[in-house]
Amino acid sequence: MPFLIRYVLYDYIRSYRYIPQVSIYIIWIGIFYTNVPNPIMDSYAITCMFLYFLSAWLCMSLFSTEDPIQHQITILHAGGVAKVYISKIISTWIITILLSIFAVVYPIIFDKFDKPVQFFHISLSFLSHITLSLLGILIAALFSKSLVIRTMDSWGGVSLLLILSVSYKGIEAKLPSILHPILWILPPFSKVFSTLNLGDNIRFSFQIALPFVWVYVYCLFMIMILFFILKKKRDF
Amino acid sequence: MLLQLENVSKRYLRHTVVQDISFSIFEGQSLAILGKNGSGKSTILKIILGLSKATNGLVRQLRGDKLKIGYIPEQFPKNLRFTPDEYLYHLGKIQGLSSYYLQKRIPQLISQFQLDTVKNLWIHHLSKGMRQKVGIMQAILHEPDILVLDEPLSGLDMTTQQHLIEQILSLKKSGVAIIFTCHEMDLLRKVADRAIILEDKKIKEDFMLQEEIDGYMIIECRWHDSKACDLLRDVDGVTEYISLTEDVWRIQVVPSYSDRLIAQLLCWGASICSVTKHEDDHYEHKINEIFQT
Repeated sequence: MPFLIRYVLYDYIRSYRYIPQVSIYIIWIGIFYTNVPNPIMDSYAITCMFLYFLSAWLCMSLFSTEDPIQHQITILHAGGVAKVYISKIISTWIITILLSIFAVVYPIIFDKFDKPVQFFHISLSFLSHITLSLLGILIAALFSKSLVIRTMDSWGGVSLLLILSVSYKGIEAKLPSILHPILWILPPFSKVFSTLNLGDNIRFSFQIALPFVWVYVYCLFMIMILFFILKKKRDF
Repeated sequence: MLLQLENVSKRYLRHTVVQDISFSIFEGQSLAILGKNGSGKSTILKIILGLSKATNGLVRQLRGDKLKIGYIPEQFPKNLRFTPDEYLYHLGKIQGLSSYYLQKRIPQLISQFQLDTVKNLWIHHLSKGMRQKVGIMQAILHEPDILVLDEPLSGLDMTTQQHLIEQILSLKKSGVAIIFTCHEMDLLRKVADRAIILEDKKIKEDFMLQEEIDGYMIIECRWHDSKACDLLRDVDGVTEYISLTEDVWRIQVVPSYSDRLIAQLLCWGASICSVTKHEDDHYEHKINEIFQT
């Protein structure tokens, strides 16, 4: 698996297809922190949401980088289609982890906040960035072009799911309470996002940890669905 | 025996692509799968490779350890951002081959396929023929038991075709079993031992190619011997014989055994009247029909 990830990353980096996403994120963060001072956790919440969308875009781009014939050759050399997909997911996550580090460290280095940043702020915001970026990546992986035949379906599916997950609170408010359980199928973006909006005096508690656990459980379900689709596609 | 397909069928929704496909492949044997476009050749290859699963039937690997299968696609990818050296190293490592093995094997392959001068160029800068050579190299990097080739010479110039045929033949000689589809008579004649023709989703014909394409030699001789029938019965390569008159015989023999038979007949006191080649039009015609579509 490490060699497969290395191969995927080499190929993607040499394709330069990451340039739009990475440069947009870096430039946007630069512009976002032009005005000072900023509240700590609220600012991190915004960069987190942006990374959530961007991770999905990065994943779509990385998944479509490899030539379809080469994809078959890679599957044969790797000894299974699941290994190739997981390597691509991990490769995208590695890139978003680097972007998360930048998003967390940049405002600290350039003193963009209104009060001193504590270790808990840094760890919580970094964890939020990497957790939500993984969620974004998995949503995109499920709708990648290699699994969904039509490009429009692929982009449409990802966009719809991302927007629905971000608008969770609004949908919940409009929906009758009897239909609220349906919302559990939506990606739990807003659960982590709400944690980041609790203000800068936030302290560690079980209630804060719970949304993160739920996101990772949800990610696990998504990976299982991905494997199921891959198996169905092979059997089909 | 390495691999056996037993009554394999593949359906996409209600559309049947191939049905009741059965054949086996042995060490060092080369099998050509022929058929018109859309007859299901590539589907069979994908099932063998494990990229697609048969809807019905069994694909059996008849060896204790897992078979190593190499795959050469019809159109090797254009946009590879690696040099041949890097590409083979990455794929080798992905497969779990050791660095020591790869450092020995890759230069050997690059030299065998005459790519020394371009080994530092990215593959997408190489010509189509050179790219196809890289395609073969990746397939044989781990010294496979079976090599699966999907129209490997498609779109290549004659010189490159000849070079690749030589490489495929040398792999065959080294004991690699080869399963391929093609549209080139030259590749078929030189490489295939056996061919199956797909028609109406099923195997229509299954024949040993050297005998059918090369046809037979017909030897006519004057030979007066009461034991002629008994003698001919035990001769290798003789497929048919008939007494035209009391002392004139017509003997049908596989071409590779004709010289030996003529020598034997002369030893037995026969006098050779004529030696002619008999082409089997049936298969020749079928194959030409497929290649023209």
